[in-house]
Amino acid sequence: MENLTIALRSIMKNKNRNFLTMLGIIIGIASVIAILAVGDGFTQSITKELGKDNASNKVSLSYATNSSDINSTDGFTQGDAALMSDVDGVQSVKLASYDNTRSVKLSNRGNSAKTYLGPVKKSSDGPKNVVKSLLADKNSYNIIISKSIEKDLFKDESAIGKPVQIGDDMFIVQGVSDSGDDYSTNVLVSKGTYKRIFNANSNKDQAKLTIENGKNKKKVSKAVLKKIKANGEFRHEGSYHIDDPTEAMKSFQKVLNSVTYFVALVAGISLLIAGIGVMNVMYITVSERRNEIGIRRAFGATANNIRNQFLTESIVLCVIGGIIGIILGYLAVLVINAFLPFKAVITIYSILISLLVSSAVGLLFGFIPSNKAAKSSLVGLLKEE
Amino acid sequence: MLKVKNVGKTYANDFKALTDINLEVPDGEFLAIMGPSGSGKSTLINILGLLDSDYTGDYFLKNENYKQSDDATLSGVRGDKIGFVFQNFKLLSSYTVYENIEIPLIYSKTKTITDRKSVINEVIEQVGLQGKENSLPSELSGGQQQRVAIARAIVNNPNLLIADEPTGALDSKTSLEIMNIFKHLNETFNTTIIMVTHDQEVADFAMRTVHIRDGRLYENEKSVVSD
Repeated sequence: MENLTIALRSIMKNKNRNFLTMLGIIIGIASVIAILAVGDGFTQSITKELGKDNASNKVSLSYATNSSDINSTDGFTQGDAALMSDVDGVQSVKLASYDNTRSVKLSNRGNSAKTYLGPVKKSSDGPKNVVKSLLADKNSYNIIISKSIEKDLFKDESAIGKPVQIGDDMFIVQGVSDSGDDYSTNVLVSKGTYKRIFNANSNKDQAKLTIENGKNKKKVSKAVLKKIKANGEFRHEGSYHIDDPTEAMKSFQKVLNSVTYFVALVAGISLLIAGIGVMNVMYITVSERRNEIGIRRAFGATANNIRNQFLTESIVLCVIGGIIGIILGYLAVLVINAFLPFKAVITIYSILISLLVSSAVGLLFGFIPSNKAAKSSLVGLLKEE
Repeated sequence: MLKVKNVGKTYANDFKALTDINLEVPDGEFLAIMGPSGSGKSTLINILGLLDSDYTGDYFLKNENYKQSDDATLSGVRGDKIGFVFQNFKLLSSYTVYENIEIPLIYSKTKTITDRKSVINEVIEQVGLQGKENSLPSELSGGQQQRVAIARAIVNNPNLLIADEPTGALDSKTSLEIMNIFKHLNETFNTTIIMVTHDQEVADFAMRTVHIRDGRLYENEKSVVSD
């Protein structure tokens, strides 16, 4: 307690010098706090996500075809769905498709082109008013095609207002988009039309299961997987597996981890330099206060008392730096949160780590100067003015 | 009682600072050590005050031999049984009068914090510094600073007071005031005082004077005159 007062007093006496010494600690601790907050925030968001998934009684199974033919209609069939709903614990099964595009052939007076077709979205390319009208009129036979398809079907003429045949149906081109290449969706139709005409025979590569309340989700989904693997209609053309939402997270976590290591390295170097600064300033303090050390020793202070006094000062210096660093780290997290898809959080644990690390720096780098102070010859200390 | 036997001190460069010193100081004595500069006065008083443990011979305080004691023991004895007054006061410049006087109490194991205030106020009164508790040393005169130093030296109620040229930095009038305080302490509290000085007028306050020359002690050389 006495040491703490002495330490604070001495630090306040040389505010500027000590603040500059603290800077390294402040930066180091602030980055530790920020990066731990991002890491913790990410972990929390994952667990929350998984928790949501766990709490809900939904499981999704997917099918991956071995075939390279993009038009293969492998996947879950209605028969498979019925099979799965028979499994004990399954309440219902809904089939869906991951991929919302279809491969189609467009033709116009002898010219034809093979490309992908999909439903229009708010974000789709194309003249804005046409996109808007397609979004509004769900059963419209109007379409938007890309420039490359326009060139394939109409050569150098404009396609606007002209009919195009897709399968057995005729569509009117209302807009031409600038985007598009061989692999993207080059033809956009309204949602209702897409569903009615093109989605009917699309492959269902996803099965969404609802598990009965009170049943073990994991067990039931495993049983379903086993059954579909044994009896699925297209089991020989592809494979089934349970979708794991953590998989996607894992790769992001990997990136985050390498960022964490990098920042930890920067923080580590910063703390090392800070530590050397602390050692330097403690050496200065000790040599400036030889007279004081002599007086204290003469009036009963042991070598240990003196060592502890300067160690306390060094630790207090670092902990003050640490606290400022934590505040700065908190502010940094507020800024970071504006750019993150999830919320970075500062945990008690990371605050404790920071305080521990800063005290450790103080202890470690304050030790040699403090020891020097303690070991000085008393007569020598008192002789000086 | 303080007793040193066959004490010698040789510096690293083979300079013999002290040779075969034998000295007994009974409880309650006021002893002056006189000698020219370089005679070994300071070296002797550092050993007598347990500030220097690097010497040959034996040291007894209250019949206990402290020659072989470790740092913690010596620090404890210094803190509880010995008080120091230095020529240039040796006050901490950024500490107030009160805080300077408090220093020995910080390291004392016999006084609790609640005791401190009354003990400090008591010694402040003894040296006549009432009202100056919150002043800094720089705001005080030399005589007042030395009073602070004396208050600090006696705050732990020591058996032995070591004064190294206590009036060396003071004018003669102030020196007399300070010496009267020492005399008062010696007479009222029976505090043993060992004082180094080169001023005969100051030495006259002591009961006994010993002389030191070239590292050797001479008793009674002029003491008959001053007694």
